[in-house]
Amino acid sequence: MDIKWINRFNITNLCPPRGAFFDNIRGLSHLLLVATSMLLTAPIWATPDDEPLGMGYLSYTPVDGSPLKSSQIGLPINTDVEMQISGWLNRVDVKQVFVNHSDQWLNGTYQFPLPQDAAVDAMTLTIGTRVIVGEVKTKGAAKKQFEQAKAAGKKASLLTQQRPNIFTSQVANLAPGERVVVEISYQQIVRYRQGEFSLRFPMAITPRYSPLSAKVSAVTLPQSAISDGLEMGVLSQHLADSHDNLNHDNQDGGSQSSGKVNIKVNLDAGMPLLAVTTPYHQMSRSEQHDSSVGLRLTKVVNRERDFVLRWQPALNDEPTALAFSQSGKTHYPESTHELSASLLAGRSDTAKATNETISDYGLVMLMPPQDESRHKMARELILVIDTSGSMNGESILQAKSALRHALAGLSHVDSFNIIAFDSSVSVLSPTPLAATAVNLGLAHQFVNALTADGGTEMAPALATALASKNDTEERGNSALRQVVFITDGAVTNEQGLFNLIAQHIGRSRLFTIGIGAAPNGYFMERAAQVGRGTYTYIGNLSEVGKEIGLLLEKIENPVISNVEIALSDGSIPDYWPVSIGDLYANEPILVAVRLRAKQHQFRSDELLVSGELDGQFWQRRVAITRTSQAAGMDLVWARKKIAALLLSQNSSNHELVKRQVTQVALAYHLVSPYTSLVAVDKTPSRPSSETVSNASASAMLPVATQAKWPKTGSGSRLYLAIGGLMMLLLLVYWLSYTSCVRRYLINHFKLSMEVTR
Amino acid sequence: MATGLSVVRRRYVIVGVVIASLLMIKGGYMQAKAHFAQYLIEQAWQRTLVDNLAHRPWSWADTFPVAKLSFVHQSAAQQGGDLFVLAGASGRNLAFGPAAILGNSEVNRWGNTIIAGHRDTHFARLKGVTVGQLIKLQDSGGAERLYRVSNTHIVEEHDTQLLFAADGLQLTLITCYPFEELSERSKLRFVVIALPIDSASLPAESLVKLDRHDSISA
Repeated sequence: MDIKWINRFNITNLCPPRGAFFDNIRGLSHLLLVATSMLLTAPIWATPDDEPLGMGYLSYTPVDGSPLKSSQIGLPINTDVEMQISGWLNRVDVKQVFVNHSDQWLNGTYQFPLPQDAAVDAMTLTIGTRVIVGEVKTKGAAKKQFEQAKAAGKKASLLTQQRPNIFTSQVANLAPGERVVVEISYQQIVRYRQGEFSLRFPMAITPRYSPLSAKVSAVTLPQSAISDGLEMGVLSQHLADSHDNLNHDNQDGGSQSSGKVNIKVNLDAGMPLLAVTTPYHQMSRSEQHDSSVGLRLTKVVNRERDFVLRWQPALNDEPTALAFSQSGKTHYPESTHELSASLLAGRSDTAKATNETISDYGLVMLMPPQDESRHKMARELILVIDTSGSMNGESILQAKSALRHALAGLSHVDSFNIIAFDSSVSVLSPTPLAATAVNLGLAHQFVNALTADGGTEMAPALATALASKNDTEERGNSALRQVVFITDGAVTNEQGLFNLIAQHIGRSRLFTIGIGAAPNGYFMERAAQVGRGTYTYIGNLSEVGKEIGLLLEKIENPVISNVEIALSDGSIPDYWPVSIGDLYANEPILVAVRLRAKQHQFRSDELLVSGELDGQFWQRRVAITRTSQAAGMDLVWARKKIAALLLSQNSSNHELVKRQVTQVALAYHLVSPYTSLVAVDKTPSRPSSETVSNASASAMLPVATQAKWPKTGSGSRLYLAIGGLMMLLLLVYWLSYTSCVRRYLINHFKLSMEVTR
Repeated sequence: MATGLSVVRRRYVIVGVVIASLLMIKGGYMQAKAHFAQYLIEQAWQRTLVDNLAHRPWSWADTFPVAKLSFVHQSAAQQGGDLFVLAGASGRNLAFGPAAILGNSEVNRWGNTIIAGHRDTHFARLKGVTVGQLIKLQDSGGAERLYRVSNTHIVEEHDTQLLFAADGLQLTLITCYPFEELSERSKLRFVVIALPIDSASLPAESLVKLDRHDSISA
């Protein structure tokens, strides 16, 4: 085979150089380079192109499964967002306009992000002038009802939750040329920090994987993947279809305009406004009063950046605690369509529909006392780093970088220590060191020398980190002990570790930091919960500095610890999150409370908030402001309860938690992992003679997480291939110099020359 | 054989040969490591089956086997024996065997068990996975459970929705995609979703066994 190749080479090159086909090493190395780069670049055809950002396409393929027909078109879904901010609450209506420009009947699927804490409680389906109000059902029942309607040719819509911040809306039987609007409403609390309110609406998306060469690829995806019982299956099918369409459109020289977003905000701060800013989008103000303002995007935008709105009220003095309450719920499960429609329309009427068993719902905002004279508290920062074998690779680099950033954040009054553990525990110093330049230098040396190897024996390390000086000494100096625990959480005896933390936590606080591609977030989230701290996940090296900085800044100045809420008669209201934890400066806490009806009205109008301030008992009475317009606090309460329940889920109680979450979600009309909203038209609109196609607008991936799948490739075959190729080329090169081959080739060459003559 | 190579050129050739063989040794070592580590892991697994405790496959290991994965009715493209699954999908573990992502789930009991593997070694066989194929998973209690492949996906590296999407018991296998690509880094993942066939056949005794994740009081 070589000879044949060489022969051809000879004919094209009539003057073979002396003995060689590669006249010098440079030529050989060039060839090697070219060959290697070909090897490396060859598979790149499979990576997604840089598609322009846009808002997902509604596109479809005929159900018979013959993709890539010329009849395919991509259609954008436009979104209209309307926000009504009143005080601390934000009511958002998201209108998704599904338009069928094709000449076929369509079923559409659209996946989109919403804020993490959104309590989605309503969906309406608008067909022309008719409005169908969605109902909350268990996920299975809703799905069944939707599928039945779909099959019967009725118009229907379904809203399901994939993740706390990712939702999917589906519409069935969209007639050619028809336009339906799915309107989704959610309730949200706005964020407050350092005198400024803010809210964020997720808009950023990235292109999903598109199988550009699914046709040429040897791996063909099973097209029969649709399984009715499995939602993801259907989704993925849609997904695959839409990719083909997307590519097809792009090949056709670009599709029509992609989906756009329009945002309207009605801000009623309830206090005089100093400034309103939208850092990433241009807005025009329509009406402005002292305390309220109407905002509107100057032009509809593509989904590129999250929408952020910030506003500063003019506060004479910062609030220390606030409480609002409302009477009754927003939705009533027993209510008929008409009633819930009327409730939606005029929420202030809720009170009229009350009965005896109704509760009151409230929000309590706790603001740390802002005392300028308070000196910054000295803290003792214990940095614990996991150097076990599982941290090998990028994880340990991230962890070390995190340590360096944490060390850089220390001030001269602080003290610190570093504990590294794998199979054994090694400590920078037996006692905490003052944050002097010399000690920090030692610490950096210690960090640089760390390597990842060995097992994960977490218990001794935790015990060392949490073991503090004896109590009397501790009371004398009120330094804060903060343990920052950097690990991937690859542990076996999780329950034992939780117990250990609970026993030894004392006045320390445990902040866990998850590192690596797939850390055991389950363990770390709960460890932080037991350790009364927080869990931070850092996905990649470039995020380390920012995330550590944020964490250290947040926990820099705890003001009140062990916060609890009670009514002034001593009874404890039903509040979520259950463990409030510590109150840090500049970081208020919002707690949602449920109170027995009128309990606080007759007996006591106050809540008692208690905690520990500088080691002393601290208590404050908070008057509850009853606001007639602040509806939706029950939704916030239920959403917080669901989040807390889901966090406590584990293998021994998951059925129970599922039941509880379902029950809460049904009672408060919320979409949850186990409940969906479904709206079905009463009369069939699609004649049975017409066939219907599936469509999807989920071609774009919401940028909602920084999580990543683990790395599942090693370069073994690449090394083998490059090595083998090099060997082969060197062999050919060497052979070309051997006398016998030379002689043979010269003879052969002469022969072939004669033949050609 | 006498060659016309000059001394300098011969030297270049020798250097080239050394580099080439180093590369091949490196690649071969990775393959061999992946292959032979499975035998050690199997031994640890046998001990685990006896006493239902975690055993390290070698003394300095930072992991232990948590399950045995076997493909029922393997097609020609999926040759290979049973696979022993390690705990924790870190880069190091993945070099030795497929590894389960640690999380709020338990093999054969509840939640989404996600197992990652290298596309060039253990999970090269995922290329031949077909919908409807059966996968058998043995847990540390010795109980075996059959899963049927319900569908496959190709997703972006950052598109981790499937990491979470599960209401009940589910098995998710992931590897890099495309399979033919040689390099170490890949932006895509091939995800196989399998659901248990009959939930009724759960062995009663495994339910009694104490749980790894006991509830913690909130």
